[in-house]
Amino acid sequence: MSRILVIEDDDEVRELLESLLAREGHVVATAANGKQGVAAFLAAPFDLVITDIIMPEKDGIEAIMDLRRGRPELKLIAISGGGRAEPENYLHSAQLLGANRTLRKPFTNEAIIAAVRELLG
Amino acid sequence: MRRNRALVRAGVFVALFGAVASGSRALAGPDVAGGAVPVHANRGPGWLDIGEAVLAVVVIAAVAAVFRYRSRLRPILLAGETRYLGLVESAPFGVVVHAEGRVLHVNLQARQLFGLAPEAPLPGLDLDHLAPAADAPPAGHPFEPLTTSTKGLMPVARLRRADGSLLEVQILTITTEFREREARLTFIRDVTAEMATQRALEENRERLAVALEAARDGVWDLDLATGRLGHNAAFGAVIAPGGPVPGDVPAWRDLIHPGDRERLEAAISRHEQEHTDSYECEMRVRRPDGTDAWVLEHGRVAARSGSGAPQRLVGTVRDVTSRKRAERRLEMRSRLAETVMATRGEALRSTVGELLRELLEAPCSCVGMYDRNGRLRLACNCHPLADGSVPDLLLAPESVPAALQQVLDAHAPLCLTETGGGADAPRAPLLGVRLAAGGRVLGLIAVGGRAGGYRQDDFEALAGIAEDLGPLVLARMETEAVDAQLAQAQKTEALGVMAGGIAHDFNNILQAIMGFSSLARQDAGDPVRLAADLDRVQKATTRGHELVQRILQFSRSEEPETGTLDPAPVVQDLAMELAASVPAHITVECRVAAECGRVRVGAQPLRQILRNLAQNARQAMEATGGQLTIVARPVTVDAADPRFTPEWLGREVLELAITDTGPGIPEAHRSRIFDPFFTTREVGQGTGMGLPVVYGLVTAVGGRVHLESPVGGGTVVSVFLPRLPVVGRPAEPDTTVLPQMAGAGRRVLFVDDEEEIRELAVVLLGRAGFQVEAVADGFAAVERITADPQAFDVVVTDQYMPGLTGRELARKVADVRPGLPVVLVTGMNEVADAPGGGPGLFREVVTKPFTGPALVLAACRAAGVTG
Repeated sequence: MSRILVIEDDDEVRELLESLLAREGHVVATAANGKQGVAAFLAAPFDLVITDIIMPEKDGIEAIMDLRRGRPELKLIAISGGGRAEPENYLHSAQLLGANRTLRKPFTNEAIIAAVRELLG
Repeated sequence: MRRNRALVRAGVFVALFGAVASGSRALAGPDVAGGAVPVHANRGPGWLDIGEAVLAVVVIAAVAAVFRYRSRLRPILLAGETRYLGLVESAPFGVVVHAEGRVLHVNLQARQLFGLAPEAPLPGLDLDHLAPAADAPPAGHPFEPLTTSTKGLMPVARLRRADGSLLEVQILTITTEFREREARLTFIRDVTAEMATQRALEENRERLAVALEAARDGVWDLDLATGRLGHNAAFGAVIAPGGPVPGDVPAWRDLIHPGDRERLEAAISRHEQEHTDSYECEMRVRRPDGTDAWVLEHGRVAARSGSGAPQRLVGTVRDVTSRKRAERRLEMRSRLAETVMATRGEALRSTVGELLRELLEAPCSCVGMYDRNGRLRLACNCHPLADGSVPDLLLAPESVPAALQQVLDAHAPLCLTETGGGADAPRAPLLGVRLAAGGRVLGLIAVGGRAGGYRQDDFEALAGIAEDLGPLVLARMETEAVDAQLAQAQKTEALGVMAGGIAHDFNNILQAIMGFSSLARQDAGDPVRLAADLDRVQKATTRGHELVQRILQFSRSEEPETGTLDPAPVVQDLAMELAASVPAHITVECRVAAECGRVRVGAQPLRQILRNLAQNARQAMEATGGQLTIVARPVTVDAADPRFTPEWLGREVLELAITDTGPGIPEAHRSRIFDPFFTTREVGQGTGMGLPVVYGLVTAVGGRVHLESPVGGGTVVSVFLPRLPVVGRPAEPDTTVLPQMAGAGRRVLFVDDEEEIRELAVVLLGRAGFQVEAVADGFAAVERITADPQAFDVVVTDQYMPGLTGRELARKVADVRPGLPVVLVTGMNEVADAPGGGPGLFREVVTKPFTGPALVLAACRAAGVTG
């Protein structure tokens, strides 16, 4: 059982991930944007963070930079459905900034579960 | 023999001296041996400039020549003292034979040099008496020391003649035998004039060097004590062609542009005081012939007094006009490029005109640019000539002058009207040059109106400009051609942004559908979970539907609804809906005037307008919080209202003003705020369709939108919709007189999350004879009915509530107690789901905000009691 933080501004996607990961036996906390996400992370430690990229207030790229700083062991998964640019562009940036895995929306439940399992060992 | 040997030696020296003295001419022929080479006392400048090396070569050559003719010389020398003296006397230079300081013999040349009478008795005279040294020599007479080498320059002695005048001689002294005794033989050559020249040359070394450096430069020499200005011929050609050459400094300075004089003086005084190598100054000169030129003056102090004060200034002036023009033209070109590309209208005209005038550096009262069809596109500086006549370019202002038509027609970029030709060609009143670029004739650039007309060199200047301008004009034309496309391109780009936003939203929707449907499969055995999963899927599909609707709404040009409407309930409904959905730090206030009248706009477009505006206002305050105010009021446009153009004066309009207390709209965004897809939001926060939709809907019904965003924050968006005159008010339910106790004791369950509304309903329905029980949400209502299905005769429910909505409640009620009538209280937008359109969930629908009688009437009908 690991502690996972889901940062996602879309209500349904956030609920989906929460529900999915809870079924996998993880303790899941959620945040609706990068700012809330980073604050939540600083308040309590997590083993894994799943973050969307395009979000209000603070986007996922910034959040990844904040979270990765000084925490090489933290596991990060970036997810994106794109925006002004193709999802790959955002995800590539996320990867360069330290995301361990990236998933393009829409992804299957199996895909995200596999990524989480792989990262958490 | 000794004597003979001495004579031979003397002869050699004679020859040698002559050879040295006459330079290369000594090699010219056998005369050398006889010493008959003519020696020019004043050989002019340059003689002493022959270097030592040259001298050595000459000496060696002379010696060689002497030896070559030795066989011829020998018999002469052997002919005895008479011949010897004869030789000495005939020498073309002075010879003095002396021994121990006393004169033994002086030849005729020497007597003449010393200014002595031919018959004056000289032998026995002291050398010092013969020719006293002008400068006290350290020891002995200058004739005494033997010349040790002929390789260097021979010494020059300054002697005084008998009359006291100064004589400068070059001397060569050797030993010889004279009348059986040892004597010295001194050869003397007068170099007085040469030395003067030499000194003059040395003095003027700077002047010469500068003069040699640039033969075309004007060279000047200013004696600061006398003010005398010397110069070469080129000086006048540079600074004052065609006029008197200035003879002194003031006359010279008068030619210099007044704006440049101070700079020149500063350069000179800096040089004088700081002892720099030289000074330089570029300045404009107005020449006597009326032309302007750029002159580079380069000078230095050539002599200073003992105290260091400058005594002489020497220098050059160089005509740098063509370089300056080239530089200026480069600068002009870039300015022209800038202007042609960036300026429009009158500013373009005047700037291009000025630049052309400057480039041409010739006054012309008129500059015109014509397009290839001969239509005048740009005319500048057009004004009548000094004599009052009108330049040809102005005679037919709309079309190209006939004389220039050929420039457009001809295959060559012709010029100079009908004559063309060289510099001697007649002056033309008009000058036209074809403007072409990229193989296209773009038009014609023409000048006219200069007194005296134009010549070939003017054509060349204009042709150069046209060459520069051609591509610029072409670029400009292309720019204008793409202006319209650019606007389209911006929209396309914006569309891309919108597409990005849609993709983002849509991928989230797909994500939810994919994820929850996958979970639903897993949850197949668990109905509760399965239902929850499928609800989410359904919710996501609804979102997808809404997204599609939003896109379609913008892309479709739907005919707006044409019916008329009382806007008040719509506004109030929306305000309530809004108040329920905004975050806690935003408050919503709604003020609707009592008499709003009716507007010719459908409920759906009106709601859309209000929603979009409210959405923007809300977003503006998302970070800061604040108050969102919606005002609806009738307005009669008066003249003082700056928000309207004059044609609106006196019109009756409905003003819908949505005000926020957010940060306001930056100035830079205001002009674009109604552009389709313009958005300041990040992708995912909106698609930038809000205001353009408002704009489109409002203008479609003949209304207008006004935006105010004062400095200091806050934004007011006002929508003005034409208001219809009120012709007979529609029947209002509140005028209906209901019988007392119309409810006849029927039991009502009232469901609403708003406490005040519950209280109001309890009072209203209670007064009307109902027994009322009120609960705050759908769950409580279901519980209550489930507990006692027969407890109520009618259920009255709000649509929007936390937990179950009115519709969901109605379904549950139908499950628990089929047939129990349900009355829905809702905003206008849900009317479509009213009894007629829905699956019969609701017996009655009451639109909000409701009046007491409307509620009571609906409850009565639903409960089956009739008044």
